[in-house]
Amino acid sequence: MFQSIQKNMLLKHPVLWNLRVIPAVIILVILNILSFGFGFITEFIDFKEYENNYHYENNISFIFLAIAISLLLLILWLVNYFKNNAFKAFYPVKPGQLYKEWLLLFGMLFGMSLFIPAFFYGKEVKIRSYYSEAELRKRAAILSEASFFIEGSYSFHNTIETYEGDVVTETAVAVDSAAVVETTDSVKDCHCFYLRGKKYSTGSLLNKNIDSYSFFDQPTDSLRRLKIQNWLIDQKKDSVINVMKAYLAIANEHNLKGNVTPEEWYALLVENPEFETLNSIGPKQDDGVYIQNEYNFNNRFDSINKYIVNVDNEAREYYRHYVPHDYLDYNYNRMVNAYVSPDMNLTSLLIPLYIALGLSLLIFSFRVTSGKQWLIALVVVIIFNILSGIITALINSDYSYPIAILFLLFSAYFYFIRTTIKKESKKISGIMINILLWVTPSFWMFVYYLVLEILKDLSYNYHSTYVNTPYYPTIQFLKDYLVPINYFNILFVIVIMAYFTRVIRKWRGIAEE
Amino acid sequence: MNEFEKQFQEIEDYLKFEDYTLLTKRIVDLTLDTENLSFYQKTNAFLDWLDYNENAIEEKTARYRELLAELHAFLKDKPTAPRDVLVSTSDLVKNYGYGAFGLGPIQLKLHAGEILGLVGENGNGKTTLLRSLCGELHPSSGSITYHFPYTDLYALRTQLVYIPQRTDTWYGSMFENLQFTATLYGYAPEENEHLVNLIITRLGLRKFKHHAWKSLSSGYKMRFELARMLLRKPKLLLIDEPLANLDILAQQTVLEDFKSIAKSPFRPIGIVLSSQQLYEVEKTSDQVIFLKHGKQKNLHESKEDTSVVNSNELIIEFESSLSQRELGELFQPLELVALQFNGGTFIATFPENITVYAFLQHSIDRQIPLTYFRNISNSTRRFFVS
Repeated sequence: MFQSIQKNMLLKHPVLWNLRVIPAVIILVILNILSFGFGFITEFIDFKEYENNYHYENNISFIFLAIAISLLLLILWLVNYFKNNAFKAFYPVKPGQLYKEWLLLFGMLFGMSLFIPAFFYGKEVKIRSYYSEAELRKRAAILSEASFFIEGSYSFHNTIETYEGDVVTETAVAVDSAAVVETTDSVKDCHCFYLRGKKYSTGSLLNKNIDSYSFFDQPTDSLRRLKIQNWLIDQKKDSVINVMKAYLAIANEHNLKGNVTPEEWYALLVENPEFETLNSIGPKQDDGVYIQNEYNFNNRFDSINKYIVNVDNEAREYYRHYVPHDYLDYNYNRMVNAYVSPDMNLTSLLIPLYIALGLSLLIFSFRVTSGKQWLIALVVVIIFNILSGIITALINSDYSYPIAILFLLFSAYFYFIRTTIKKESKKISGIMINILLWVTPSFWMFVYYLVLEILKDLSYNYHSTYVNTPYYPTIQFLKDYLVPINYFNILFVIVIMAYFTRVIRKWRGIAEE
Repeated sequence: MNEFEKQFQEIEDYLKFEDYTLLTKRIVDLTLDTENLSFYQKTNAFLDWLDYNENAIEEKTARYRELLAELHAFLKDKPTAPRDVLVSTSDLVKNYGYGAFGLGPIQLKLHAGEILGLVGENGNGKTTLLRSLCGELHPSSGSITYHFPYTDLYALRTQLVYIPQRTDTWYGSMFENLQFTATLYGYAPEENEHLVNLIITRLGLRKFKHHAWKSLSSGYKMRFELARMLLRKPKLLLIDEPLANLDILAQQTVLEDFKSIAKSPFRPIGIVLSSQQLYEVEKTSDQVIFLKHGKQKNLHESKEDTSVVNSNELIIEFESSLSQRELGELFQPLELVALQFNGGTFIATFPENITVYAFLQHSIDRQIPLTYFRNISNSTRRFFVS
């Protein structure tokens, strides 16, 4: 069957046959599925872990294996592809045919560059497969609410009212609030804050922050925190107990244990005047090695909530009351991030796209010119880069290197076009085609870099701060849209290749000497 | 009688004299001329049958006769192709820089169905002229005009097939290579395999279609190049030294193939070939150009171009056991102009009024021992005489 497909391709689609599209696509699909599957199978959530232990052996082995397979496949495929060259042999080639050939080349090389992304995508899909997004969102909210009652940070206040920006652990220092709300010295001095018109100490449970998960934005987190504060003030014990129960149920589901019941947990923390207590619930049993510190008053051992245990001749701090929060927090963060900020995204996809683009142009330029011209072009580009680099270093300019490359690009283009217009002999235009094709993908990126540098230099000339200059919005736009600009750049190369391939076809007809 | 009928008569004679090898080749030519799938299938079926029934003379003859009749019936009303001018040059000059070798000026005109032979010593511009005609070299001055339509230079060069002396290696199966060419040249999928089979049979490659390039001899490589060329339907075929490395039999076969390919009544092409095999080339070619230091030399006096004048003297190449002095004395009555000893043979030049018969009669009368004799008055061989 396979041979009959190939024969059919030879008789009907010679370009596809020559590119060995069918076998190559089948192999690529299988290998990409295997890569995905390998990523999916080897990845898992281990609730015994509470921090990143950097078990990357599998990843590194796979990356090396994938690179080796890609190279092997590329070489085998090129050997077959280079067997026939209809364009060089002056077989009839329609104006658009060369472009189609390059597009196919680009597509297949993209497929060959996808093994590693497919592997990591498989890993992410596995992580996401534990729970649906809706379920995970619900669980993350419970974890976030329960974290209010687990040892963690408290808000810093230098304003009268609680500021929503304070609620998240990671952004607990409310520096921004100082800019918008008037600071009063009395608040700073009393270590207190006001909530619903009542004054509380900053050490009150009401001032506790909650953990955030990247599903939620800051206002949502603030509202969740406010809800818990209101439950406490309104003495809605059932609501709080329910959160604790739900939390411990999740822990139980993952075979993680604490040593408090919801009622004990509630009693330890909440049932205190003004919600002030020295009790705390640890995020795990073992808080690490005990280190006696006689000089740091603030780092004294917390004997109320911890005790010391000798484990293998090593003193370790153990919480008297704990829940397995570190385990849940670490692993649920992994799962949430797999949804919210996956590693395999449009930005990371640029890597295989650029690899495929670069390789396709290198191979295509070799196909349409000659090995000798290709090699000479390579030497020219290397020498040109070295010289440009030296000049850049000597004159210490941010502009010289991109300008030099753009100069090289335009020189190659004009020489090539001049040759096709004069129609006399090719001379060194074959070398120029190689350079043109290789440097074109960098055109917009060097323009981008130049514009950014010029704008930055212009904004430095202002005496006001950087953000207040009229160039700031453009600079920020360029920075924010770097990924779309890269996609535009790739699209630009794809479009301009339609033009280049047509001119190259005409150029091929010109006399060699 | 048109060109087709003339050629058909020759083919019938092959059958009459049981020259089955030539007959098979010419039947394939006729089949290709039909450009008809059912004939492709019919002839291929016959060739397959022939592979196993080579010795069934009677049945073979009957089948040949039947196929020939069908081909004749199909082709007799098909209009033959005109013999238009394909390419002409006007004062074509190609220089490789100041002081370096220069070709030309060259004047030539080639029609469809004609073979132009290029002869000359090594390094005298044969390859340069071929490369100029195929578009590889741009003229330093003068011009080359192609008298057939083409949209751009690339399209032009698809119609000019140049086979250099050292051909590129073919990779993979020979048969697949030819099929690839056929597909790119627009042959329908259903006729592709039949057509390729016919062409490889035409060039005697039936047994070699699955061979690797490296296992083929120079002669068979050349034939595969010709097979590919046939699929490319060129207007002009340019071949550099096609006879080099071929044995005498293979040379004759290849030249005969060129002749029938060029002179197809329905698909004629122009062929320009360079060679050192003067007599073989002269036998096959319609025109011969001799190049000496890049300059074109014509055989006879030309009223238009006196710069390439050579006299119309009688020039005889011969071998004899007599010495140069003895021969000089013996031929003196024929007003011998010159007698040169060149590479084991003598070249005798006589005035225009002396005929070849007079030379022979004189040799018989004087009993001059001749072991070899050739009138080279109309051969470029005379230009090789120092």
